[in-house]
This record gives sequence, C-alpha cells and structure tokens, in this order.
Amino acid sequence: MEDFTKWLPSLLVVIGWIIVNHQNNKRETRKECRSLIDDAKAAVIDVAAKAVLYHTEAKKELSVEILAAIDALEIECERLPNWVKGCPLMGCHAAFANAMTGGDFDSAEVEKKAANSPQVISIVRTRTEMLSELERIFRVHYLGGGSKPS
Amino acid sequence: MTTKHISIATDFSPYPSGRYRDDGPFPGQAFRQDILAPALRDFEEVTVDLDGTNGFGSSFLEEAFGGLIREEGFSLDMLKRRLHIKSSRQSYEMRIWGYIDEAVLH
Repeated sequence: MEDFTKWLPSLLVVIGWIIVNHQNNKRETRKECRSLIDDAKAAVIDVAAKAVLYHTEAKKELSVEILAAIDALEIECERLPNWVKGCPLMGCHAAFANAMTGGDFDSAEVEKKAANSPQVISIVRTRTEMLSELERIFRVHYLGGGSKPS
Repeated sequence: MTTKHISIATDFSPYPSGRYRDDGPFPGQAFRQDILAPALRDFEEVTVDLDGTNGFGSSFLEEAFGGLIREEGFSLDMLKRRLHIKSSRQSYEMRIWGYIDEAVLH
C-alpha cells in the first residue's frame, strides 16, 4: 500500500498526459479535417459559380477551367475518409459534374439560359447536395454524430 | 482472348470535348464511331484509359458511351462483360456506367 501511494502521483501525471495528448491529437485531426472540408466547399462554390456563368452568359471560354476544376475537386474529396467507389460523396460529385457539363456544354452553339432554367437549377441543387454531404462527412467522422445517408 | 487498350489522350486527343462532330475536332461521337465501337466489334475485351486529358464533359462521355447502346446496338450485358474503364479519378467510371444504364432505359 505504501509503495502504491509512493507511485500514485507519478501514475496520475502519466495518465493525465495520455488523456491530454489524446484530446490534443483528436482536436488537431478535427482541425485538419475542417480545413479539408472548407477547401472542398470553397472549390464546389467556385466551380458552380463558373458553371452558372457558362450557361447564363454562354461563356464558352470557361469550359477548360470548369473541367479541370471538377477533377481538382475530386482530388480534394479523395483525401476525405471513406472515399470509395460508390460512396455517397462520389455520387454527389458525379451528379454535380453531370449538371455542370450537361445539356449543350461544349457544343458548337451554347445558348444563353435563364437563371431559373432547368440546367441552372440542377447545378444549384447538386451544389447544395455536395455541400451537405461534405458537412455530413465532417459530422459523422469527426464530431461523432449526424445521420447516415439514405 | 483478344484485348485492346485505348488511351483517349494518345489514341484520340488530350482535349476531347463536345458531343457531335459539329461541336469540334474531338467529340464523343467521333471517339465512339471511329475508335470505341470498332474496337468492341474486333476485340473480346476493351479497356478505355481516361487519364492524360483535361477532363471530360457529360456531353462527350454520354455520347461516347451511352451511344454504344443507343446508336451502335450493343447490349448492357455485353458491355458489362467486355468494356473496362480505367481512370485515376474513380467518379468517371461511375458516371460512364450511369450514362450506359440510362441509355438502356430510354
């Protein structure tokens, strides 16, 4: 008993250090992931704005930039947990890419479309779905909460 | 077994874009009619490598791959057995099979 009380303060210090270290690591991982998610969300918003401009103003010169940005966004997504074939985020990315580059994208004559045209609405809707899915990933993997995708 | 590997970047163009031949020099229709469909007729298995390009719009991919069902008369079952997609960006494979599935439905 005497031996134990002699070692108790040191033991408490070690246990305390382990707990604090674990919490620090968790916080750092969460901060890194938050930053990854924020970068991906910024990329989504940026490319969606370009795609809307492409279709509403018939700015064909944005095509190359939009296509490259779609691939760059996928590279960002690959760094997130659970990026595997058929995962919900990949589904959102595919739908988003389809919406932005569908219709008369890259055709000889690109028609200027209204801001409430089906194509633009589809871009905005899939952008929102992509943003929601990114937040859901953060919630599920780093905050330990949130609902699973349907 | 005869197999064919097609790299879009080297065998077609690093800058594929558009749906129809009128849309530009390297559209999905030209890739399908000139390269992909003949390869699927002549070889038992065909792998299409998507890497090395500037990316693909839906119009190109839908016309090139969905068109295999719609225009060339290939069946979904045959394509599932004989067509393979290779890309370092996994979502392209998902998109391409989505276009093929959709072409079957319409």
